[in-house]
Amino acid sequence: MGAAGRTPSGDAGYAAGGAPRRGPAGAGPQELQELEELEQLVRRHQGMVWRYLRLLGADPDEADDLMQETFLRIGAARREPVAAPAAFLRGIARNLLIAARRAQRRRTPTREWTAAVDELAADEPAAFDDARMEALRRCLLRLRGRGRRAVELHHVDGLSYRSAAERLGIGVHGFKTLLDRARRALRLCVRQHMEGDLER
Amino acid sequence: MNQETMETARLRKWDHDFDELTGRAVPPDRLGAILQRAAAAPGGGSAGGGAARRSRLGAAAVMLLGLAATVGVMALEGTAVRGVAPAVQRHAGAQDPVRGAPVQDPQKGQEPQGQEPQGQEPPVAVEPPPARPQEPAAPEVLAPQPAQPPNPLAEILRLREKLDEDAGENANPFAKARGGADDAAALFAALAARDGEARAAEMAAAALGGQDPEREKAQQLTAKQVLQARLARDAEAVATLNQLLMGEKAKVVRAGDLFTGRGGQAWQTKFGEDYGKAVQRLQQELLNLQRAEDAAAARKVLDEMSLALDAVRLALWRKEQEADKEPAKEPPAAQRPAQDPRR
Repeated sequence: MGAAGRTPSGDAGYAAGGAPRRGPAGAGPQELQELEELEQLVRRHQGMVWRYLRLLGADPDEADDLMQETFLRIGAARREPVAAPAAFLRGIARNLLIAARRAQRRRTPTREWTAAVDELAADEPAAFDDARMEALRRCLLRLRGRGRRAVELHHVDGLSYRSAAERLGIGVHGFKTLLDRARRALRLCVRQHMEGDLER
Repeated sequence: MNQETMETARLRKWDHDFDELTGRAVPPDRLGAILQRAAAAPGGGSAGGGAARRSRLGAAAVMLLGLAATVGVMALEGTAVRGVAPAVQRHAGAQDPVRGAPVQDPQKGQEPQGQEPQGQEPPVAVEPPPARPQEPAAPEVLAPQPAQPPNPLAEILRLREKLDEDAGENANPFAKARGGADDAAALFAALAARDGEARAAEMAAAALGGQDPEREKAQQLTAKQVLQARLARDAEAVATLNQLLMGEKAKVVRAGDLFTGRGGQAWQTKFGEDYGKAVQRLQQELLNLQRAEDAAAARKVLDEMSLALDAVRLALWRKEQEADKEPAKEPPAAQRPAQDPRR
């Protein structure tokens, strides 16, 4: 599944000169510039890649390893401009996860699952960005009433639907409805926050 | 696209988002490690998962060295002012346990050694102390409260260093005691919380759970590592305070978990009853903080915590005053070595 270009990330193109990689002996201006570009890329996208890998099914440790590997791969492979580096990075990360799982003889994520995760990324281009987490944190603080309580009980305290519903004195079905409504409100709030940030 | 799968993905994304908000699984910052590896490896290339893991350990080593550098610098500040030889610093270099910590990591022991590109090894590992103040990892450790002069952590650390020094070199009251394992576990837990290092978390759990080989490793940690653990806890506590002041309650649980209330008796023995009680009070307040139902309650607890922190500082200050009353321990001015010219 070619991820490059699929997800409009809004990033500037990540061009590389195709110069030979820097050796350990020293670094010329070209190499330094490449490292600076890599630094910017890592700063901007390391959280996104890690979250994407997590959603694909990697545990935090595995996601950490593969995230580093992803940036090394793009650092080594850049020979031409990449129009959408976020999607490109996700593509590398996904392939690395599948390859690693195969090498370890572990289950790889199914095509359906990877397609669902990629579609999620396509629907919400900033779904994995650091900015979204910040917006979500702010929106959670603004959430009021039983909706917030439902979110805290289930997502923050980790209670099951049943336990959380009992805590609120409502049925499981009612709790799910309440939680779903709260999530929708959060999603809307996050979207507004991020659009506001973009406009600013 | 199957709608059910799509909905499952969305729900799981929510779970992950909240895991991150509550600090249960936070994306690590690997900028330094990636750049080191990119710079060191000709042609970039794939180093494989093992190399990535080693790099992660390398990054952890850099972080730990930064912590050690902080201790060294602060200890130097604490003693050089008084004209005492920088023995603390030499002492720190000689038995700096932080350097040893990654080596003790059994995971690293399983890795084939010597295959790492040279640049992956933290270059500061053999650097002399003068370079340490510029160490990038050091500010991270104390970053939570840069705008608080004077820095209470620095003060606590300095006092502890001083007291450790007074107690004599190689003083390690925890190495053979159960408290050593507990504090080692706290160290690992603090590291795990800071960097999301699952392996460190495993070691913490193992140390707490009493699995014998892990516990032995934990018990081998020296007193200075115990000190680091305490520092990490204090840093977490102050970070929590700051976050609460900013309205962020998310990390309270995570930081509060570090204050498990262990080791109080040993520290009370070492630093006096006042200190032990103050720390226990702080721990209790952190537990209260976890249970706080709303922002108002949390703020109330926060006030108590501030008082408790003050009590900790006061107890250490008193202990220092007592220590200063024993001038025989310090060499006469004529015998003091010259001040470190690097400072």
